[in-house]
Formats: sequence, structure tokens, C-alpha cells
Amino acid sequence: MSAAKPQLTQILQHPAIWRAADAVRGRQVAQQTRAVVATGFQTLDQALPGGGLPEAGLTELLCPHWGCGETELIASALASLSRQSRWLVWVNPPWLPYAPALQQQGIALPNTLVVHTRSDRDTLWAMEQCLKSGACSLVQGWPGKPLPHQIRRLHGAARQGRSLGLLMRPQSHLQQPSPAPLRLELGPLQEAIQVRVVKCPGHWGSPWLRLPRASLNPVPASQPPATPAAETRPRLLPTPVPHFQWHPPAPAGG
Amino acid sequence: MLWACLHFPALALNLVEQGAAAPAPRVVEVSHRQRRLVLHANAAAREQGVVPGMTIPTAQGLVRDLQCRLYDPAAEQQALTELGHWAYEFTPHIRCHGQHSLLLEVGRSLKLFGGARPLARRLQQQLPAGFEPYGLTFAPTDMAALLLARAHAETHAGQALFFSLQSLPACSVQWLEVEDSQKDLLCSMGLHTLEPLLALPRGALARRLGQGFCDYLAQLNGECEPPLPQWTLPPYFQAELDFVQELDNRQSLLFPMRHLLSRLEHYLRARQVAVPALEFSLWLRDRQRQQWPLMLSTPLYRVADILPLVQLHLEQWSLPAPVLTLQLSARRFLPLSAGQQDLFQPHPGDDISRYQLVDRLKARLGGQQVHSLGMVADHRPEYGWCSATPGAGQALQHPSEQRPFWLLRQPRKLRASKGLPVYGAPLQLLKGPERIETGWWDQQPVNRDYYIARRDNGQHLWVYRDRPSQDWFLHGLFAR
Repeated sequence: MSAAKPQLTQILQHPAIWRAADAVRGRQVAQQTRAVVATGFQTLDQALPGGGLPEAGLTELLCPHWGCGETELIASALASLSRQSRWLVWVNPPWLPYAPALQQQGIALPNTLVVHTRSDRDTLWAMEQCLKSGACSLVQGWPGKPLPHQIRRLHGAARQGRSLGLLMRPQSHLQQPSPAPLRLELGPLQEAIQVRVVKCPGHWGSPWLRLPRASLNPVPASQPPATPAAETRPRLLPTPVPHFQWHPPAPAGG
Repeated sequence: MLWACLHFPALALNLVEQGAAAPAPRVVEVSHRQRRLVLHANAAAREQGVVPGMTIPTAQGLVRDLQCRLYDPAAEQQALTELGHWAYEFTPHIRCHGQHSLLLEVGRSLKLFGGARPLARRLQQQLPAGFEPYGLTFAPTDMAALLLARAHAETHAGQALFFSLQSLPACSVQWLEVEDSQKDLLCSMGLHTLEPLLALPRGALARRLGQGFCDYLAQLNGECEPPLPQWTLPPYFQAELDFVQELDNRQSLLFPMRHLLSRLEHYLRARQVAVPALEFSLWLRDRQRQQWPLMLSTPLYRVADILPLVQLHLEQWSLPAPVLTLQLSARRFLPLSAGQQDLFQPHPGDDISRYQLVDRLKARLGGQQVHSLGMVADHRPEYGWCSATPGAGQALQHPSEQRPFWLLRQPRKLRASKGLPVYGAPLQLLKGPERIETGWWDQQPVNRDYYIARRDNGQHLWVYRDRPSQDWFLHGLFAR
């Protein structure tokens, strides 16, 4: 018996083991040795296991439409990951990342890579190649309808290449099973970004979180007078929100 | 001095076998007094009774599907030269002797390789495949090494043999590098081995056999040393393979391509350079020449790095007719640079793997489909960026005004209501105008007032009013 006890505790340390009791007690799962990159939104970072997006693995972002705050969510991660001498890859983006803006946000332009594909198969192939190569820090891809086994492959590739894979999917895919270990759902954009953790390793998902948005430079417009943005804060540094606030998910397709 | 002799008695046959995909009985034929004779026969042909010296009709009577190839001395010489390039890795003092032998002065390389035996082992291990049988002998003079290699080519093929000059006297005169008539003369004088020959006074020998013969003997015996040869590599690389049977399948080209690439790798290693671009040329059945250039994003020198790209490209290239000859050439070289790694970076970026990924993506998706982002010194938003070569995205002083994260490729026209743009619902203009105008120098003038607008859901958009037409357009989306 006495010999078995240390073994059991050792086993419980394994990152793949999740105990419901820990989550019920609200205890943060023992800090596993996984590297994460913070999103810069304190509320979200607290809700994510390890305090950020995993640096090696696939994360799924479910959006009601493109441009509902998903880029804001990862903007700080993009800037910090671009300092590695590895590629930041956009595979088949809906619009073009605009170089002067990237430069303004502190993203190193020589490390950017945009890949355009003609078919869904090529999108998935390119994502897998990039994730697997170990030469990319972040790979963000917009495939059409990835199947569960394809997502599993992407996750395996991301683990192998130590890359952060971001799989952009429409919100309508929420009910489809996905092997991605971390799934985030975004609600329609309001004054704040609405996001909830649908699924994450080692923890229950989170309720809807409202992340305050960074305002644009508060320079008054000359014509017509602008309504001031909700908060005036330094750019890209969100104010911490004391508690999770529950908001009903707004109807999709906003 | 220590000379090594690499002797390839069946070089012409080796060349034929290298271009062939499947084993089959093959011979190299030569015309002698208007008769077609077998010069070399491969193992499959010899098993069925074909021997060198036989006439071709006889051999064809013995073997049903005998493949005959005409002897090509130029190709043989070329192959020997390429072997010389390969041996440049071991010593710069190399000389081709005749059609079959390569003489290397390795005495100055012994320290580097840790002695003669380790050197011999390295030579044997690294000798390109497909050159069996070969003889390898070491002796103090070049002519002695050559003579002993020829003497032991049949009995000790593929082994490294070490000799001193004391082993010369026992050799037969038939291996001397002299004309057959002189060998006949020596035999008629009763000189069958070198022992009595070397004992004869040189003056008398010179009178009977010529001064050349005596000079040769002096060189053989180490009494006089010839000047050391200096080998130079050609300024650019070119190698080709002829196929016995024409190839009509792209995938079957992969094997000969790998063979050529491994030769390229040896060349690159010897010169300590890497190659940024290479080209495969194919001679097709209809005498056409097809060219398949291959551009690399980063200079490479290893076959293992280049071959996967060739494989991907092979799926894209088209082959209009069967191939007779495959040639690989590379003309531009860059010095090898040792990679620098950052001590404080958690993921030291391996430049090779970084650009290999780009090459792999380009090979499948097309060269234009993969690019980096760079900035251009132009105030017009659509010309303010460019698709740069991966890794060469240039960052300039950014505009002081905020720019949207996402830019639409084509500005999208918006409806207007009461002087305000409408995108779903009327937009609220937060900031502006920022006037951007003119472009008279390239006939693409713009005359716009840009605003940052806000949708009812809080999304920030970059819109502009075209001043001549007063139309509103959506040009970008902010990500904040």
C-alpha cells in the first residue's frame, strides 16, 4: 500500500489526467509544463488552462461571422510570437493582412507568410505542412468544412511542430464534434468581445465572458462629432474584469 | 609520397548499368576489324556463357534478349573525370591515367584522415555506387600503384591493398604501361617478371627499348618523381545520364534524378558551396529538349533536402514524350554559411527547414500563392503593401494614422443614406477625414477622404469617400 501511494500521485500528475473534483472545487489544475502564450485579456487568460493559448496544439475559434473580434483576441499573441524567427502563417484568409497595420501592432513583417489556396484540400494540406514543419510559430487557417479526422491530424501536426494552430470555423459548426482540445466560441461583436470556452483540457468550459475592446486612438473626428468610445484606456491593454459575468449568448449571425 | 590508384576495369559497363532500371543481360560492344565484339559483359550475361572477346552474333545466340550498347570512349573519359571530382574530397593531387585509372597522391592527406587504412576505408565507403568492380592499391610511386592495381584487379576486386616497392619484382611484365610490341620484345628476351628487368643496366635498355621506357622504369621505381598533378573542379556543375530504355513515366525519373543529385552533392561538398537554383534538362525521343528549372528559396547542398522538392515538382511537370537522356546542371553557387542561433530564443529557427517549408508549399500551390508581406513607400493604401519574397518583407516607417488589420483586395462600394455610408445599417463616422490623394506619376490617381467608421455592433471599419464621385467605399476592417 505504502509503495503504491507515491505511484498514484505520480500518475495524477500526468497532464492527460483530469479530475472532476479539481474543477468542482474551482482549483486551477496543477500548472502543467505546457507553454502558453497569453492573449492579453486577463479574463480570458484566467479561464484558459495554463493562462493562455497553448503554444503547441490546435485551438478552434467558432465565429458567427469573420471580423467579430477574433483577430483582436489573438493580436497580442501574434505580436509576441512574431518575435521568434519562425513563420506566422495565414492560410487562405478571407481578407488580406495589411502590412502597415501589422507593423503598427508590432508584428515582424519578415516572419509573415500568406498562403493562398484554390481548394479546401490544399488549405488543409498547407496547414498540416506548416504545423508539422516546426518552422512556424502560429498557423491560422480558414478551411471550409474540416472533418473530425482531419482536425485530429492537424492537432497531431501542431504538437509535432510545436506550433499554435488556429482553426477558424463558423459558429454553425459548434454542434459538430471536434477533436481539437481547445474550442472557443465567439458571440456577435458588441461593445465588448463575447467569448466562451466551449471545451478545454483539464477544466470545464467557461460561461460567456465579455472582454473589453481596446479603443482606437481617441482623436476627435472633425465631422460629424464622434460619440466617445465606451472606455478610454491605453491601446491593447484591456482592463481586468473582476468576475466572470454571465450574458446570454446573442443570436447567431449578427 | 603515397599514391593510391583506383582502377575501374569495366567502367564502360558501369555506365550502361547505371542508366538501367531493371537487371538484364547487357554487353558493351566494340567494332574491331569490321567485326562486332563483346568488350564487357555484365554478370547476367556472363552467367549465360557470354565472355569478352566473343562476337555479338554468337552472344546473341547464347542469350535471347541481349542488350547491346556501343562503346563510347568519350563518355568513359567523362565518367573518370567525374570520379576525379569526387576524389577531390580526399586530395587535390589527382590525375586520370588512361581510360580506367585514377591516381591520387594521398600522402599529404594522411594526417587528416588518421592514416592510410582509415583513408582507404573512407574511400571505399564513399565511392559512388555502381562502380564495381574496382581495384584500390596504395604504393610509394604512382606507376607502381597503377601496375599493382592492374595486376590485382581480378583477384582482389573491391579490397584495399598496400604495397611497398619490394613487391614490384615479382610482377609480370604484362602489366607494364608500355606498348604491346615492347612487351613481346621483353618476353622474347626471356624477361617474364620485373626482377631481371630492373637488374639490367639502364643504358643498354634505353638503346633497345627507347629512352621513354627507361624513364618509365625510373618513375616506377621511384628514382625520379613526376611533378605533382593539380586537380581543379569545373566552375559549374553538369552531369548527365543516358538511358538504355527510354523512360515514359515521370515517377521512374526519380531514381536517376537522385543519382544525379548525389553527384551534385559531392561536387558541392568539395567546393563548400550551396546551390540556389538548378535545372534538369531532358532530351526526348523527338529530339526535343525539355527544361525543368528548380528555384530554391534558400541555398541547399544536401540531397536529402533537395529530393523531396524534386518529388513535389515532378507531379507538376509534364512529360510530352519518352526521355532518352537526363541532365542536371547548376551554374550559380553561394558559399555555405554556418547557421547562427540565438541563445535566448526558445525555438531556434532552423533556416533550412524554414525555407524548405516555403519551397514545399510553392511546389504544390504555385510560386505566386505563397508570399510574405512587405511595406512600400507609397501613401495610397492599396500600393502601401506588397507581396514580398518569403522572409524579405520590408518594414518601413509606418504611417502615423491608424491602419486596419485586414484590407479588402478590392474596395467594396457602399450605399449612402443622408450623406453617410450604409453597411447593414448607417455607419457612424468616428474619425477623419484623412485625405489621401494623387498618384499622377503612374496614372493611378486617387482622391479620397478616409474615415474610421463604426458599425452598430461596434466593429470598426475603414471607409472612404471618393471625392470626384462622392461614392462611399469599404476598404478595410480594424481588429480592435
